[in-house]
Amino acid sequence: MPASLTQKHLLGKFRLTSTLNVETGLHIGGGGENLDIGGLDKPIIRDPLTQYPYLPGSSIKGKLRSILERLLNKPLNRGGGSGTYRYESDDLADGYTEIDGLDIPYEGARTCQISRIFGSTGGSKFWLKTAVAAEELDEKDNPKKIIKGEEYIQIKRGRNAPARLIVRDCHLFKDSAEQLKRVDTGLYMTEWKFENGIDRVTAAANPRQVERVPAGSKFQFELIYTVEDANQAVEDLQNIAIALAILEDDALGGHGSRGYGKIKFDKLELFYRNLTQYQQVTSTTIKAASLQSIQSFADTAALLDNFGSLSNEIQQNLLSGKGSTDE
Amino acid sequence: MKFSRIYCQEREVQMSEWRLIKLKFGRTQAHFGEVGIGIEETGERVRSDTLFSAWISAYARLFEKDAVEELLQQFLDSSTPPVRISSTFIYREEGDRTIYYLPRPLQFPINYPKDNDLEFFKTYKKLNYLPLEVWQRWYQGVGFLGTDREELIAETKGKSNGHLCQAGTFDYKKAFKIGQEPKIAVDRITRATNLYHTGFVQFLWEQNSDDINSLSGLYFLLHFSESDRHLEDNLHAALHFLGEEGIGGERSSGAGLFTIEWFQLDKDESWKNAIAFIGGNHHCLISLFWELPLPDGLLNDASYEILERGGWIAGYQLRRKMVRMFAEGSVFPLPPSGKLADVTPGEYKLHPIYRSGISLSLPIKVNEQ
Repeated sequence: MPASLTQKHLLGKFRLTSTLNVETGLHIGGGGENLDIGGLDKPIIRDPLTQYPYLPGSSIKGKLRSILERLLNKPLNRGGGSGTYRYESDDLADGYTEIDGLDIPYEGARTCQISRIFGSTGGSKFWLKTAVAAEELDEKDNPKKIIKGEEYIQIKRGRNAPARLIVRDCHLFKDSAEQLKRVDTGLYMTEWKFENGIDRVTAAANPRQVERVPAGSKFQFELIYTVEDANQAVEDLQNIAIALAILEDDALGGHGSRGYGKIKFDKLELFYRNLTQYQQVTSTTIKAASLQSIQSFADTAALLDNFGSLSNEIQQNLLSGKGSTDE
Repeated sequence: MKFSRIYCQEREVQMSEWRLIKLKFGRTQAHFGEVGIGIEETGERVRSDTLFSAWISAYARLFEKDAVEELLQQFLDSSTPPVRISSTFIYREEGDRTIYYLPRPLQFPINYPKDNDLEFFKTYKKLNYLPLEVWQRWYQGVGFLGTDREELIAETKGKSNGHLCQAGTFDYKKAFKIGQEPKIAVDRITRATNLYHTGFVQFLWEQNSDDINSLSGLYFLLHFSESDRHLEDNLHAALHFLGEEGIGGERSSGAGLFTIEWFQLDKDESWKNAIAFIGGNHHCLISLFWELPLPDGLLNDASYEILERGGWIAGYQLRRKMVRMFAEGSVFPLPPSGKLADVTPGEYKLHPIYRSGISLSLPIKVNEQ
């Protein structure tokens, strides 16, 4: 079945909200526009209107992705420029990426636990099984080769898989913002920390200043997961939950190995809205179709401990929505 | 509100088929790609063809294949499409009033001192968008006044404080901020980084206890060719859904999410008058417009700007065929209609890909040449 002749299945959306607590100073770099003498070497990212610090959704999403790639032990088959490599599916179906003379196997985004959650862009000049390519793609005359006893064909351009996960920008809670406005550090709502490099022989110092969001700040965290395949939803949500838990034991932002960026999620709450509810949203019923809260948890440990009962609840919600569970 | 067709005057019936929809982005940033270095450039608004594509895609996800094909067929078959969509423009709330910006028509308003405008032309030229109130007066009302001239001169020299200023004419750019956010790709083993920048637009907002209030954002107009409750409900649901998916780029990192407010236009006096204006001799585009071949006489006494619209096919790394379209603000002597342009690239065989050139225009009065 060519993927483009029918719509990508849509069953509903999960939303997870939480409070993101900053437990040690956190630095997500913003571009420093000007160089002042005695000024900051490394400013943080701020809202262009209010100058409040915030945590970009892309930073958190990137961190969650790299954590899961490591957890699921994925190979590095995609160059990201300037010698950065990571993992990404080249196509919807399984195949091999040819990179630096190596054939690296990747899992197709239809089943790959990383690419189906975080999205993938099709690769170029990768290898797909000839039989699969003949059925799904219109490329017949390209070069062929045998990998592990099977015939593969080179594909010029792979297919994209849009992300199922949306991670929103995290903004400060109002109370937290009020509190930060009163900090007396000479910087608006943040602190500076001095870092120093010392020569081992001459003891010459190389000091620099890093701006940080102070410990104790609270941000509003929200992510949305689109259910496209009921059979994969529980697994995907579980992977997201595990990644959140690992992120607590990792660091968000820069200088993590030096103690920066310890965060903690609490007051986690899960909501679900199914397709039928979306279809009935009109000016009059918009309130009736509001999100339905499934369960809430005090922290990620509670979320992981109770994932069994949560997954039952998720299955029930999926079954009660419109659309069959089998694709 | 349901009018009975028989007892109602033609014009009032038409009025009830207009809708104004506000897209409220709250604290969310958005990325509307423009041509530039990488993804650094962003526009502040979404044009009708992009909005149409995003909306129809959301419609397809919500109501599935048969429903969307049926809807598209209605756009392709008939000379009167079921609904016309304008481009989005900026609105800004100030106290109790809302300023709606419209594109400045590309012809001079009536009474504009064409041969005597050196003192203020630079300021006039920069006004690409006019508040509805000024737009209406210049192009549907008395036209350009002596006081406008004085105020434009004052603004050129420094700061004016007349009626144009109070209407928000010079404050278009205060409604949003465009900035760049640094982003990095990190190597999974060596932690080597690759730095790049992405452009974002942020609309004004304020905090009301725990709620975020959008003080500015985007709005657009819809015109249904006939009342169709079913289509309207479905479009409403699809747009609501699109708001949760996001519009523009960087969606999965939380950009471009919005909530909607859906209004009947007949509740607002100035909009009502702008749409029902009778004394017009020209039509000003408030969407993009494309048609082939162009109707006879369309370009006589017309003023227009042409945009190249290209881009990628969502989900495939293929570029669409580029089409040139008439831009918002273009002025024609006849009401433009427009069609869907088939932009399917040669390599793509699965289904046709369309770009909406279906136009929406407002009647205006300009000097006939």
